[in-house]
Order: sequence, then C-alpha cells, then structure tokens
Amino acid sequence: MARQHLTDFELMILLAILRIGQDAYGVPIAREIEQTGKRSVLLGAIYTALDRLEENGLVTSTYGDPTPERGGRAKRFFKVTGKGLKAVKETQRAFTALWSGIPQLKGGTA
Amino acid sequence: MKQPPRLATFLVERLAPPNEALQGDLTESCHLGSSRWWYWRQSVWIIAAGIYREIRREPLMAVRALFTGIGLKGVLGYLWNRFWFGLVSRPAFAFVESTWGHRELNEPYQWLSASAAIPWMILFGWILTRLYREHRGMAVFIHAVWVIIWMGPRAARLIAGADRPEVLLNLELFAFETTIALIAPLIGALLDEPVKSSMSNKTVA
Repeated sequence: MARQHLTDFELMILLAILRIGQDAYGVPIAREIEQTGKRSVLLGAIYTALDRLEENGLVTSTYGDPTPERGGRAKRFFKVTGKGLKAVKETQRAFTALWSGIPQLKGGTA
Repeated sequence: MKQPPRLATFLVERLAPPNEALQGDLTESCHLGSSRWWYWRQSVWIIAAGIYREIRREPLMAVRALFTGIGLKGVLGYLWNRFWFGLVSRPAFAFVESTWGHRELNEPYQWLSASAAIPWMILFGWILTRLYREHRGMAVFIHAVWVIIWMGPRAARLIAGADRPEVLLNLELFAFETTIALIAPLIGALLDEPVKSSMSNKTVA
C-alpha cells in the first residue's frame, strides 16, 4: 500500500520540481535543493525518491532526446501530478498547523 | 570541459542497475564542473544503493541468484578439480606427490594450486553475469556475502591457531583463496558489456 505522507526529502524534491517547471530533470532538481534548500544531496538518492514518488503516482516522467554533453544519454523530465500537488498542500497544511502556537518559534530566529 | 573518471563510469555502467538518465546526469554534472571526488562519491552510492534496492524489491530473484551461484560454482569447481588433480597426478608431475608431508617443499604447489583457481572463478563470475545481466551487481554482491558467511567459521578456526607455523601458512593460503573467491567473480562480471537501459522500461514495479 502506498504511503499517505511525504518524507522531508520527498517534499523537497516535489517543491524543487514545482519551482523549476518544465525543465525538471536530475541535475536542476539537485541544484535547486542544494542552493535553495541548503542541503547536500546525492543524485542516486534523488532518483530513488523520484522512483518511489512515481510508484505512488505523485510524479510522472518522460524522456527527452540524448545530448552530447550527457554522453549521448537522454534526460528524464519529471512533472508533479494532481495527486502530488495535493500531497504537497496537505503536508504544508500539517506543518503549518504544527508550527502554530509554539512560543519558542515566535519572534524571529531561535 | 571536464571528463568524468573512466573507472567510476565503467563500474557504474556495469554494477549499478541500468539507469540512462542518472548516468547522463552524472556526466552532465561533471562537464558543468563537479570534482572527481564528487563523481566517485556519487558513483559508489549509486552502485551500493542500486544493489540494496534490487534485493529489497526482488528478494526472490536475489535468492535465485544465490542458489544459481552456489550450483554453478559447485559444477565449475568439480570440473576444475577433476582437471587439476588429473593434471598433477600425471607422471610428469610426480615430484609434487613426492613433496607430500614436506611442508616447505610442498608450499609452492599449494600457492600454484590456489592461483590456478583464478581463471575458473573469473569464468564463474562471467557466466553468473550472463544469467543476471541487468542485476549483475546484485548477483556478485550476494555471492560475495555467501563467500564471507561460508568462509567465516574456517577463518575463525585458523585465526585462533595462527601462532603455530603450519596454521599460519594455511591462514595465508586461506586469505589468498578468499580474496580470489571475492575478486575473480567481480572481474568476470566486469568483463561483460554493460546493459543499455531501455527508455520504454522506465515504468516502476
């Protein structure tokens, strides 16, 4: 049975895909997580998570054309599905609800 | 434009589950300026995680690969032993027989005998790879784990008695044989061409 919740890494990947838009494949997804999310990632780990997200119907993928700078290998472009978007919103709602009412988190940085 | 390390690419292409997009991303990142250390780190992770994922996703295939390996090794080992002992029992090799019981004289034969297993162990790895081409990393890894488990008790006995000279030689030979049993099949697996991942094969299990 597919899991109903997202891990923090899966959430980061889905958000990165949404931020990138049409050109979301492995390299920009990793760059987005590293630059915006300030988190070091392994490409293999991203693909493991993406395969899992695809299994659960949260993303779909299509192959582009092979290019010389990739050693003649194709890019695999990812897109967040409606179910994926719903999962992101649900996670955001859950986090926001958990965030609210914590006095230690009020008033700037900890 | 920075070129990716050849050895790392060679290993990923052969030992990791086929994934054209991921390999392309690795190459592209390297061309964009990622370091060799970065490439190696990614490659090791891709191979290790790929093998782990295959075992988790297809445990039955892992078990099948294990028993195929044991059977295949048994058959090849039997054939090799018949050939090898048939060879050294010929009159031309009578001097070998005369060294039985004389450890220092017999020692070179022991090392030669252990080294002679290298070709059939490589052949074993190659055949195993031909049987499990897309999952060769997993098949070779499962075999390596089995070798370690199988050899473990003997290693413990030898290490416990390593203060005696005759046991020390056995321990050295044993370490050599174990290394061959781990490395030679891997070489055999690397000899076969990599499998190209099919684009239509992007579906998930």
